[in-house]
Amino acid sequence: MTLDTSTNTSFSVKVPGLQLAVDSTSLGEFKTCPRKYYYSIIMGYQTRLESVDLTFGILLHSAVEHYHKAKAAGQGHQEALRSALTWTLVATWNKTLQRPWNSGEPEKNRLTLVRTLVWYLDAHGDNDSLQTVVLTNGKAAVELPFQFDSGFVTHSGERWVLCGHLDRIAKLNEVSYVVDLKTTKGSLGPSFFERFSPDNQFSMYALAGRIAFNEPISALIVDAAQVGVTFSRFDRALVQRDAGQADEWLKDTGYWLGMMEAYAIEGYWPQNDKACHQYRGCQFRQICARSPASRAPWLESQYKRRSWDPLARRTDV
Amino acid sequence: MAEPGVIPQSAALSEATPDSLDDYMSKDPEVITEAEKDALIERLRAMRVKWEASDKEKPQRAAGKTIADKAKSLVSGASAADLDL
Repeated sequence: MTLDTSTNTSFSVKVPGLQLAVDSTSLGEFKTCPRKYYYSIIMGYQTRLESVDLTFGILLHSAVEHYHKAKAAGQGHQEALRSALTWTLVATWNKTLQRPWNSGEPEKNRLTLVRTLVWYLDAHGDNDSLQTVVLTNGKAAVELPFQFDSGFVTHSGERWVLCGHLDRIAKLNEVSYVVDLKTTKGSLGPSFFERFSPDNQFSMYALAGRIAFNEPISALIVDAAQVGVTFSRFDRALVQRDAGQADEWLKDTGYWLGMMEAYAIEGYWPQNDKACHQYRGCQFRQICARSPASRAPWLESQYKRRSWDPLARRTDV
Repeated sequence: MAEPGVIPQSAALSEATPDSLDDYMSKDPEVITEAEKDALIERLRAMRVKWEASDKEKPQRAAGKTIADKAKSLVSGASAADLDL
């Protein structure tokens, strides 16, 4: 199979298949299984079925972003809430077909999205103890794109950058935190919050807060929303990342990036067959279960393709 | 990921959804007035009040206590109450 990543701005122009702008999703996929990373990030294959969790998360993030920007622009709570609600209703309406987004799920659908938005912003919008930082340009520190030099260089002299988006930087008692909104259908017990330590995404975000935004971040806050059929529940927890933890994560990242380069030079990304059944199972399990010679036509027929370019759009919700 | 809206039509959004909310959800947002949006927000707020009242009647969750305790130990100068835990 010919590999051409020359049109993807996140990839090397010298070594096909070598990603140089790495977001937490890409790095996470690579850590899970190099073959999965090859299929989903390098080749851009994704299942034809919608990921309701991802859609719901993206929509809620965007709606909350609209609220914070409206507030930073001087709108009051109700006005900003109405603005966020309007955006959500429009974003979940198919104008061509004249019908609403229907996820087919009882927990995460259009109504529970709107309900979660209103309940969340009423709980944490107006009198939130976490005050969104206002940047020097007067804009709210929400949905902040970042990219910073990792300090690592490829054998051909290209530099790796780490990139992504922070949901929000906020202050509590003059201490800065990266705040990340997460939605779940599960309960908000200790096991939910414990999953963020250690965690690839949160470690990268803590580092980004320090390096890209020059904020003394020593902890992040998980801003969690449990979405049920008839209710939305909210809870928050601190996720600590001190300087030692950040240094360790960055050191480890150097090793992972080195493996990325080695595989790209070889043009081969090995399977980690111990990861095939993790979570709800890998979306490429059916492909890897086939004989290598028969995989390509199945990939083309069963999956659709998109370009995974974290420098071009938000990919890490 | 499919675009929102490009999904087969199916049954009601939620079994617990009152008809009036279904009406809002099935209406083209371009024809929903600002007053109707405020009314929708108020309906959702009323749902929250009702749900919170019923939730308070349930036994206290052990998980919440654990998280609050953890926060107390992690944040210097901040209390669990500050974090709305």
